[in-house]
Amino acid sequence: MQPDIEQTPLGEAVTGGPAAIALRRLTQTFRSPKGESFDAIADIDLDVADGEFVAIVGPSGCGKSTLLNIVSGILPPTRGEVSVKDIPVTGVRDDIGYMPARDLLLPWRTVEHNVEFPLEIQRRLSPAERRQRAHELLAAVGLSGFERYYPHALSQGMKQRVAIARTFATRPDVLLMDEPFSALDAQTRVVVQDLFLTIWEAEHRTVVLITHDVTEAVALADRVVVMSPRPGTIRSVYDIALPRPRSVEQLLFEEPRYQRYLQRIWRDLQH
Amino acid sequence: MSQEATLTQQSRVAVRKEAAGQFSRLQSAALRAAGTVVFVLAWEGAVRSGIVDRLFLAPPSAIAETIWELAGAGTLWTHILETLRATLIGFAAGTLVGVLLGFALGLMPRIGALLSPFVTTMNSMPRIALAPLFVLWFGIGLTSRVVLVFSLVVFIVLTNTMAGTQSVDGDFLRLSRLLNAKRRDIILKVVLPSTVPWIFAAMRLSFAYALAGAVVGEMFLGQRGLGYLIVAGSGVFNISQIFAALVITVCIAYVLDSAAGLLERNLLKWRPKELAR
Ligand SMILES: Nc1ncnc2c1ncn2[C@@H]1O[C@H](COP(=O)(O)OP(=O)(O)OP(=O)(O)O)[C@@H](O)[C@H]1O
Ligand SMILES: [Mg+2]
Repeated sequence: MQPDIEQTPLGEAVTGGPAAIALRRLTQTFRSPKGESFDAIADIDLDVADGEFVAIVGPSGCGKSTLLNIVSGILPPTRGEVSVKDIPVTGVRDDIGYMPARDLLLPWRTVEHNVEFPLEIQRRLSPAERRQRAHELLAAVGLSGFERYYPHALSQGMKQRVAIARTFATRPDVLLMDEPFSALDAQTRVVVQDLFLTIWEAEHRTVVLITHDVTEAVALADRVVVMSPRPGTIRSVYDIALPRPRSVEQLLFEEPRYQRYLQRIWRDLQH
Repeated sequence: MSQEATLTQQSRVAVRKEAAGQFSRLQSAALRAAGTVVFVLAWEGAVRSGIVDRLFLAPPSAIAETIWELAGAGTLWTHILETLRATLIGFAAGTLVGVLLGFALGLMPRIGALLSPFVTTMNSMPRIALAPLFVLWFGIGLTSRVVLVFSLVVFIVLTNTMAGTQSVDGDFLRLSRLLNAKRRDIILKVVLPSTVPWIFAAMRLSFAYALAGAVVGEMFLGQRGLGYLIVAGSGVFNISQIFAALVITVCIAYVLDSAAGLLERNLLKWRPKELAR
């Protein structure tokens, strides 16, 4: 009989197999406007297994976005090492996908052209194949029939679904998401989260998701990493042993274990 | 199923909005026409009743008559074409050079820094006042007038294009960089499209200046053109000829601006309706 809530040893991947992401003693030092330097994150060690879904929660300003920027290759760390798929990250890479909080749909491109945008940029597939991939993904996020719409004619939830389709378009091995659902109202968020889970369960990419929302972290992830306030370090890691496939809506109302995870992690975040 | 429901619902809403838009367009067209008729009648009445002296203001009927006579004599077209020629050549060249320089200055910060004092100076200079210089340099032919129009258009388009390239949403650039985009792709697929509305705005603004520049140029240095008609008319106190030339100028501006508006709405149909004016 397993204990209800398991706190795994710091930073170690639970699912065996090769690490998709490995962070070693990662430290980022910034300079404040006054010219003093400070550590945004300090000595972060974390392994994420292939196909694993990790959520990172932590107080505002603890360096979550900084961490994700480093993994994405857009920000070189002050100290420490990052590798993705056993290859050190030295710059932006095509096998790493990124989904920001804003949908960032290009307003002059139709929905289908927005989904094709990363494929165009990375010179992948023929135009016809791009179009086909875009239509498949739009069907998966429930937006068949909206291919020719311009973003201004979509609701926020629809835009975020297009952004999800765009993120999956290049089939990145590793998906980095910085509060991707934070712009949505509570009801729409659950719908979009469920949709994302469905696609993720089909495509099974490695995901690192940053969020302010503990309910989101527990509902979606295999593991939840709690960070301390600045300088951000890993305070604790929780293994979320909820069965898959999951439905966010069901978890919210029907799963007692889910509530206990929430309580534990919520309390952990408070002190 | 529910997807289809939302879709049809949406398109129905869209259709209703479309209908509402057309109705109000029709309404505003009717209002505009009514306003014009009232204005013209009041004008005619004011002159005929002697409230305004005929020496200073020609009544619409006299203006129409003059236009009719000029058209009948076959000279009207020569004048219009002369003005249009200088306007359009100067405008096209000014826009082309303005857009190219605007991108160069906007995308290459060093060149921008180097040339910006020059651009600011030229932009704040009343270029109409340069007309005599242009005559000195280029003679009294078409070239001088084209150069005058060009000088008016090019700096408006240049500064707007430059501002446009620099106002691109930084997060779009960040997203492109995260996708490993080449600089060339970022310029062509992100910077260029977001600058297009700025270029259009500059073109429509500068067209009015272009036409005015051509007309003023002809007043100084022409034997033909609408500006020449104005000067020739004032020389012999032919008030209605001055007004005829002005009315035709306004009509040209209106027709071409409407055409530009139509083109803009079609090219920028990705913009929300409230923004597309
Ligand atoms: N480019 C930068 N230069 C200087 N300081 C920076 C820079 N980027 C981030 N910081 C600082 O690093 C700290 C962490 O920022 P970060 O954006 O990573 O926080 P976060 O955990 O994502 O916060 P939030 O949850 O509010 O998004 C903050 O104090 C921020 O001011
Ligand atoms: Mg952040």
